[in-house]
Amino acid sequence: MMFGAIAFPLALLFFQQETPVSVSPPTVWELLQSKYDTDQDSKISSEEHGRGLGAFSNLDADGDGFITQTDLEAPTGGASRRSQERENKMRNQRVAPPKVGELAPDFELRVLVHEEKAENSSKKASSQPRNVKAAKEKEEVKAKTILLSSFAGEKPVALIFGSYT
Amino acid sequence: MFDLYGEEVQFLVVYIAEAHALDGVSPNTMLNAPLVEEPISFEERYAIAGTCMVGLSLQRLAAVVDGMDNAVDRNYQAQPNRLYLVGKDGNIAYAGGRGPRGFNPFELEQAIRKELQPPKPNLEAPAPEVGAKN
Repeated sequence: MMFGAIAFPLALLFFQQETPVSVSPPTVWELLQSKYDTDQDSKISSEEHGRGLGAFSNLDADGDGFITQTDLEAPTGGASRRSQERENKMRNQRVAPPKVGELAPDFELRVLVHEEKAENSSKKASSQPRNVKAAKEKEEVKAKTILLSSFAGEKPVALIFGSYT
Repeated sequence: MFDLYGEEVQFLVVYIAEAHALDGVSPNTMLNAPLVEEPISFEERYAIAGTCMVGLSLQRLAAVVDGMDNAVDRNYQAQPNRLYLVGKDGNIAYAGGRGPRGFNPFELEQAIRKELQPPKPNLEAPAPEVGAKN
């Protein structure tokens, strides 16, 4: 399920939101064709795609070695099979999730820094040439990490796991 | 919720693997669904996470990005989405169910309110003295 579909109401819970303006998005085929169909022959070879055989085979529904608009309009029989394979794979990898009262599994992950924040951090005054210092500070900001256990004794942490899709 | 509790609670989005990448095993066919390919590098996932946070106007929330080994996702069994509250003591104070059905922000808020309550004083009556007479 989409974090996007859930996060919109979640975002409303967190913040006051303005009604988003709807813009007609491209279709999957339009997106892929514009990115990968370099010879513009209305089909995408694995060489043109270049993102690994797994992703390519997920899209090449008829298995003819090319991704076409027809593949993307194909019935979901293949998707059902792949979903079941994914579920089986996930089941095999499943560990018990942490329970209430247990120590939260610690982690240290890279912080997501929005471009404008990185730019603002790099604009601090310095004695070095501005472009060198700015680039260095921008990279330092982007490389920052958060360690979950660093919050212990300070404040609770609400973890929101999800993705755009 | 962030406006109410953001001073006392650290809200942290943990961006994990795509649940319904368009080239994944269960692409999202809903109208207007975000069209996102499964990232093949950490930089790609990082960039998509940024797009997601901006697209959903969630930039005020701190966010981190899971590594391509999906270790944190696996340790928390987070796919496709999940909520947890880690108490000040470092222990799990609330463990939400697996999304979408188990993804319940109202439960999280209840857990936050409970976690932020001051500890109750000990109201037990003192034990009577030995040999006391009425």
